[in-house]
Amino acid sequence: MNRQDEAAGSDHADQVLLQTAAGFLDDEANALDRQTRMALADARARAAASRRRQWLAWGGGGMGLALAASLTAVVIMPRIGSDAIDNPGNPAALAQLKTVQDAAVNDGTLGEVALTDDTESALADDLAFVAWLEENHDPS
Amino acid sequence: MPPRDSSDMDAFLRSVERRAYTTALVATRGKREDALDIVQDAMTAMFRSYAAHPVAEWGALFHRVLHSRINDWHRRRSLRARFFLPWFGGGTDADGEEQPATEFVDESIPAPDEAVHRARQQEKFMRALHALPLRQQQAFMLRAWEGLDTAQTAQAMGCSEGSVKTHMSRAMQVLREILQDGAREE
Repeated sequence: MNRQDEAAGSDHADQVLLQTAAGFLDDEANALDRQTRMALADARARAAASRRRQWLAWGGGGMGLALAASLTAVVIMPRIGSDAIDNPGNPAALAQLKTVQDAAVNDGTLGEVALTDDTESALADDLAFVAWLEENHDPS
Repeated sequence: MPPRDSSDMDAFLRSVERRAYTTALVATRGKREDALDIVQDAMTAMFRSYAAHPVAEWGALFHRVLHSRINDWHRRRSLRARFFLPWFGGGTDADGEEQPATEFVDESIPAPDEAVHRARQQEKFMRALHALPLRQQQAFMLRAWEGLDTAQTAQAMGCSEGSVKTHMSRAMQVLREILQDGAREE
């Protein structure tokens, strides 16, 4: 037998071996007893349940984030807004103060500025003082 | 990304679970509970991590996950044997891979049925397959049974194609001799 024949024979033997092996393994898989098949179905159901639990956990996390965002919008943001007025060093508060001052001084409508709380009363006092200075200013 | 309908994954896993269990049973050398745990772990990973992947990829992913779990099982066994059962250890082969320890020999396989030639051959084959080193087992089962090519097998096993060829060749040599001896005895 030459080398080519040997190789062909070996290939054929390998193919037979692979087919035989696959057949044996198929038989093993198909011959699983009822108890094992039920255990596999149970394992699959538990795996699927773990997936549902994972989504529930993620859903709970999402709801927690949404709640935190709502709390931030309802409770914390208004406080930040009032801080801007309370804090005179805040650029936004300064800009707001200057705008109101200019409007009051230029239009003479100081008395029309709506006052609603102590902070705005202090602001109005400041504006009244500025207006008084304007009225009592002596150009000479 | 919204979850894919889990019934698709359920149907896929139902179609592969028996083969997966048989693979795990061979890899654990007949330890049924461990084989079931491995299959369930692999199924859980598929549901949790890969359900959103394209269905066409599920087969390759499942092989990869399953054989990764099998490798983990062997690593844990090896570690335990090294510390607690050193006198039972089988050592390593030329590749540095764990050889089957004597405690792994599956005695639960029933004695061959004298009346059925095929059954006897199958018994011999399964015993030989159980006794192969893990990587040879994996290469043989993925190539011969699952029908993967060398590249796909390498991906599932997490090794090079050259390693797959080496493992496959050694496994074929052992199993061929077993089956030929069985045929001669008949």
